[in-house]
Amino acid sequence: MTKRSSGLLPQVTFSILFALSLKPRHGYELMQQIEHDSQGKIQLGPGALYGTIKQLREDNFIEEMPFESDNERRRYYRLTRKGLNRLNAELEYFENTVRLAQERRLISNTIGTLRWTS
Amino acid sequence: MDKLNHRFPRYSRLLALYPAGYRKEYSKQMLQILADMLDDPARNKTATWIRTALDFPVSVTKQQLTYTGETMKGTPYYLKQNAMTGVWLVTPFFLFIIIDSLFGKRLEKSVIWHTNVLFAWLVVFPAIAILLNLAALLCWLQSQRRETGKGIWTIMTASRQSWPAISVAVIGFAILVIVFGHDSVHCIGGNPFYELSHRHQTLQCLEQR
Repeated sequence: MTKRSSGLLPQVTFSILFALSLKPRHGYELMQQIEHDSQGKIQLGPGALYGTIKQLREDNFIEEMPFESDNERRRYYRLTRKGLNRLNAELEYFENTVRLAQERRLISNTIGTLRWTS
Repeated sequence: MDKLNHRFPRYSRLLALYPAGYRKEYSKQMLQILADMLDDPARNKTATWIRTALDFPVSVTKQQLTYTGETMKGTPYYLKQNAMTGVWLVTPFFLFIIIDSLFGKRLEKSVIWHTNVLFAWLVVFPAIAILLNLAALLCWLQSQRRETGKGIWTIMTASRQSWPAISVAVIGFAILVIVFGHDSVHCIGGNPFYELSHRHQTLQCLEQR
């Protein structure tokens, strides 16, 4: 999933890192945040979510927080320094892409959609 | 069994299909997230179940493949090498079946049985595949026995490292059975449901050969 370390992160992986950038979250909070951030375009099932979490933990991009909750089923995850760096690199790429699109007048300087140019 | 296992008995039983390590770490959290989704009044319960049902097989397959891949990392080189060679050796048989089916021929009417060179290859190649993989398997079992002191059956069932070699050997053996029994292939080489539901005719056909 996150094996393509030199390329872009898969969308689900990016969404999880992005959702964890604000604060540590447990699984369901993460799922809700991802749905909110993607305006409902990314809807994960439990298997896809925890499959990606497992991969991110193995890659040391996120970590489980020390056990605090009284419900052992609610494990909280947070970004590691490596995860934050990876997220920043990804955001930098997107920022460059948006800047290029603005320079090419594909989108306006504020927020906008791609315009069809024939 | 705790509360959520009681609440979702089928789903919690299905979670057993995940590899043990993954299950131990995430199965409780997966049950919790399903409960959270279903308890959320903003969510449609049917849509949640559909999403979970669609997600489950994909996720299980992915995790099993990942687990198998991780296991394979520790597999000795000779075991992997011989399995790969074996795969190449049994491939021609399947290529012939594909080519035959492209020309609308069934297995029993394949050109394989009428061309001596092809026939010889199809006997020799799977035989080499079987020998290579059985030899590798025996070497591996011997080394594992020396290292762990466990029995052969325990070693083979406890580790997936032997699976590629066993699979290739079994496929090679199956090909040889078909090749040597090709006179009766047409009795069993058609629609398996038909042949099973018409067992009497199938057995009669086999006896006549």
